[in-house]
Amino acid sequence: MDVTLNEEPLTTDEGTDVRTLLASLSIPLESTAVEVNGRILDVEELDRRLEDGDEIFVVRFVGGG
Amino acid sequence: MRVTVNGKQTRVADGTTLHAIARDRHPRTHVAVLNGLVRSEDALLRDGDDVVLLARAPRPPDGELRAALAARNAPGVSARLGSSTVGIAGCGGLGSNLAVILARCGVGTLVVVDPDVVEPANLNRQHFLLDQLGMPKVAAVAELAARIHPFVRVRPVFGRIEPGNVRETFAGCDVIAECFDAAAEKAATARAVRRSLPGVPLVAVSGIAGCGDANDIVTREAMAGMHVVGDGRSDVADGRGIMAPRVLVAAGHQANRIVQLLLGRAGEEV
Repeated sequence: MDVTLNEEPLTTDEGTDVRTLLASLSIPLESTAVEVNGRILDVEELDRRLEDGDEIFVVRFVGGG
Repeated sequence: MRVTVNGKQTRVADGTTLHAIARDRHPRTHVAVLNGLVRSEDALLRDGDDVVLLARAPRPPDGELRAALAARNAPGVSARLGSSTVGIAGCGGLGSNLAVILARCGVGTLVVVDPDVVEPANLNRQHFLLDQLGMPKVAAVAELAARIHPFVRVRPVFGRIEPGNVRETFAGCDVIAECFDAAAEKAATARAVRRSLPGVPLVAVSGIAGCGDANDIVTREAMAGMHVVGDGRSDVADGRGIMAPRVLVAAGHQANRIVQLLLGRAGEEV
């Protein structure tokens, strides 16, 4: 199935959830903000299954301020 | 024709010049500012011009001080900024410097939130002074802002930002800035703000540790309504340290994007 991640096309397994997708890309969950189709997800909601055409945005935060 | 002189609408005869108005109305003038530009030569005034005449003197009366504080701002932006409210989540390296910059700009109200007190190790990058050690950071920022721009209201909140209190704490804010140090806290704040106040733009920071090139620090809109400043990778966890130059570059980026958002992005041209 085809989704977009930060506006780049990405092909992923049918029924993949957000947690699995981020883990496969080595993106740590605690320090990210993830939005799917314009809606921000809490850490508990990352098991949500993705659907064809989903638009995913991920911002990864690193420390310092 | 009408011109504004030190914040007051004034009727003057056609053909009046900058030096004439200074000589006749403010003979102690030391610096004359016309439409945001310091002018040493005389100039013919036009209808609608904004004139600020500054004397070398102690603190002027409030009306004159207000006009002087705005004299070098981009023309026409001060009223808009003065009626705006900005929320600052975290008052360390980013938040303290951001608050000082926004106070200089004359942003009307700053809601600053932080649970910590000023410590010696903060002074390498945070906008605090030795005589403020031990003060709550939010109180120290309020004190600094009052000494820079007394018409800026600072609402200090000495406590933590949690998902449950974001909406109440930042109610009425036009823009919110994420200014924490730890990655997990940054992300949790970003998620909480986006969830609780989805219509309010957020300006966050990621990737400013160490001494890498300042030109690698950029501002981008990473997703609709979420603006992120930084190089996206320089992490304090890699043992790089965190120092004033890149922290202040990032605070400047945040402040500039906030001003643009408050001005409806027309700000890019002013």
